[in-house]
Amino acid sequence: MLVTLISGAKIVLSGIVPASFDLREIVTLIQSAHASLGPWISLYPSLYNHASNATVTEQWLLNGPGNSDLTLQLISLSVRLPLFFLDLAILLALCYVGRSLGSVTSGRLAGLIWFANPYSLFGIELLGVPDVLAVFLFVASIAMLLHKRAILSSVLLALGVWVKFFPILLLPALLLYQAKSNASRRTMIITTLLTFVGLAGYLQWTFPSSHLFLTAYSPVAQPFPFIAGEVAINGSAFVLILFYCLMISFAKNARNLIALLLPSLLVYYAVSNPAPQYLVWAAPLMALDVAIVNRSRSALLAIFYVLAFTNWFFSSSAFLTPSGYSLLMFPLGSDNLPSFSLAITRLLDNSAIINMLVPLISSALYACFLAYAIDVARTWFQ
Amino acid sequence: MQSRSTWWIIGGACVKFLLMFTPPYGDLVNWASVADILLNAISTGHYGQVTVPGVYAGLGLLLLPSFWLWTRLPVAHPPVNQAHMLFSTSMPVLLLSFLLKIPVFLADIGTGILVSTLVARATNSPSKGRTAFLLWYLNPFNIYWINVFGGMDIIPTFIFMAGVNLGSKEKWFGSGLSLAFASVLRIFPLFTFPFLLAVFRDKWRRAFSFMIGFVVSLAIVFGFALATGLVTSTWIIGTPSRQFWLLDFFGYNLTNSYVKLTYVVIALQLFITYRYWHKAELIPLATVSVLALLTAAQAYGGSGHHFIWASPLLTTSVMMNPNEKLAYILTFVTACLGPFISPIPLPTYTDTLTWGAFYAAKTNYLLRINLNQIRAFATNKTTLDLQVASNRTR
Repeated sequence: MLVTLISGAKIVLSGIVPASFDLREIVTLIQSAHASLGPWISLYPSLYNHASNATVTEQWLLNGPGNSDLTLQLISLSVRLPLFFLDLAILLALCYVGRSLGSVTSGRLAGLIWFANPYSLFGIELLGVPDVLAVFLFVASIAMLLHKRAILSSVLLALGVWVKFFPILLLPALLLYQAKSNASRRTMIITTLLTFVGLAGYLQWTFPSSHLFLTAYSPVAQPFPFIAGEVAINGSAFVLILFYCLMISFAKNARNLIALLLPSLLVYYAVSNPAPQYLVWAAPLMALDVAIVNRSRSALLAIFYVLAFTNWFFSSSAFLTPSGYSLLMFPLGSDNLPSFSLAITRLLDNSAIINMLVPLISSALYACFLAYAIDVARTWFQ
Repeated sequence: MQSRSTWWIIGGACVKFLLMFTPPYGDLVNWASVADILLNAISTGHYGQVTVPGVYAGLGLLLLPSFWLWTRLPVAHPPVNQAHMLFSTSMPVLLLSFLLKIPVFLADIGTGILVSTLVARATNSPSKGRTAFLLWYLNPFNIYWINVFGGMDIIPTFIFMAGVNLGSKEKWFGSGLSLAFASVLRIFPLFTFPFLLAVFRDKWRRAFSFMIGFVVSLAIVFGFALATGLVTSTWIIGTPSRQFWLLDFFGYNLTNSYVKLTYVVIALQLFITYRYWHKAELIPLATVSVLALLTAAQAYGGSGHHFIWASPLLTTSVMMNPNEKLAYILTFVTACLGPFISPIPLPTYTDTLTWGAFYAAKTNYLLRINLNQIRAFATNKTTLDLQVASNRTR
């Protein structure tokens, strides 16, 4: 019942919320007719093909929530609906994983924490970016691993890497888990090889555009950004390799799959500069962790999402879209703004907010990545 | 033993008095200017000028008696600015330097007494209390930054330590009041506030007394300043824009310009304290809060004299936990190797090495205290319990 209600709300919002800047970027990339940018991008034109000409597409991108033009709302819906179905599929996969690792109730709880989370709604349907496809593939990969279908699990993981790179960060943890579960050496080699095939696929579509997609650009992929200057050491690589070495040394007896996977992503967040929607990657694991492993982390999870949401609010100028409206559907960019919108724009322009509050929120979120990783990694020693 | 301590105290006082006659440099000239501006404001009745000293106004008020006394002395009174005062060896300037350092010296003695009281009470050993006083009083780092440099930071530190002392006696309203007063003079006690709340856990009445003392007194001070027009809310909010060096305390940028090292370290320390410390005690909490701030912030901005904020707490802490001895020695030896303080002028290219060693030592101390508390968590005992057990073993 609850899932039906939330689904209804998500579908309605998918139709009426204005298109985000990220959606506009995707459309621009397709129209620019450059080298294909990712296997998922080529799926988009078919979703808005009924907008037969560029004018209608432009109208759709600039359409505010007040416009009752059904065609434009249908384009919004058709672009976002596949993402909603993937969102729903992750809910089902989480229920399965939760049931395998804990109980039916904890599986449902994990699914609900994922599906009812407003951050998922914003990071998936409303933003309209396809990170959710890679997330679904790696959650399905975990489900297949628990279902003793190791090869299928590896194939799904490789597909995830092909789409969005980040699931490769989970490979050491998955191999460690396979070793603990007495998986054969052959299975582990196949998992590794398939993942690297996925990586080759990823490189094949990113390199024609620029190697910078692999090293510097933020929105599409940012696997190894620099934290110590471009000519200095690569901080991300350094910290991640150190982390994996520590994990292999200290998590020898850890049998909890979530406690191995989740810190890998959280540490990656801490050494990269993640775009807000990237936080969706760890969301299924965090849901499983709170539902199955340790309920006492629910307060930390709540703090994490409050900080992530507030940080996103400030960094995106209150979720501004090309239409001049926010994703929260209030106007931000016109001349006759209501007092509520004016108060928000003043808040965003206030120097004390920019100098004091925004660093406080961003830094607290960063500390939250580390705190959560430390708290989960603590279970390695238990 | 007691008479030997007395001789050390008298000898230390003589050395300190001599060192107080050193020519002014660094922030002492700025603080003298602030006192000059405030004295003019009082004598002319134009309090609008109070906004000029900015965050130093509170400290300037405390220096007024010394400055006023200097203006009454039958000597020449050169203009109070960098051009006329910096490293000047003229008698009027040396006299001003000495007089301005008198409140600093008094706060130095007062802080030593508070450290001694805290240690004597916590360890139930008056002799340890006396040793703590001497450790504070004769520490070369303290002597340099307090008595030679004239670091006014010791005044808010003394008030902060008075708050810690009152808290240890369960006088929470007075403790909150002292912390608020110290926060008006220097911002660091504000950072300690969320840490100190951990002391209360389920003791809501005590927490309420502490918060009333802290929040209400701050509200009264700022309410008075706003109501009388001394400052405006826009002026308070705009302080970081005018005195942009305050933002240096946020520390290095990490992954982007909004992720600041100080905030991250403090938030992480707060998490570790609330999540992993078994029984949060006042002195370790106060120590880690100030040390976390200084470990992160000073890597970028701030000066050596800001470490005075942590010095009495570290002295108290090491006397209560002898297993911190090495960390304590390492911290203060490396602190004394830093630029400015070293009696032997070191080549500037060694700065990064000496400061690097100091930051490593501070971080090590922070980890040491945390490990002590988490060890206590693992064995379900407080730090003091472990200390008593360790003494028995010896």
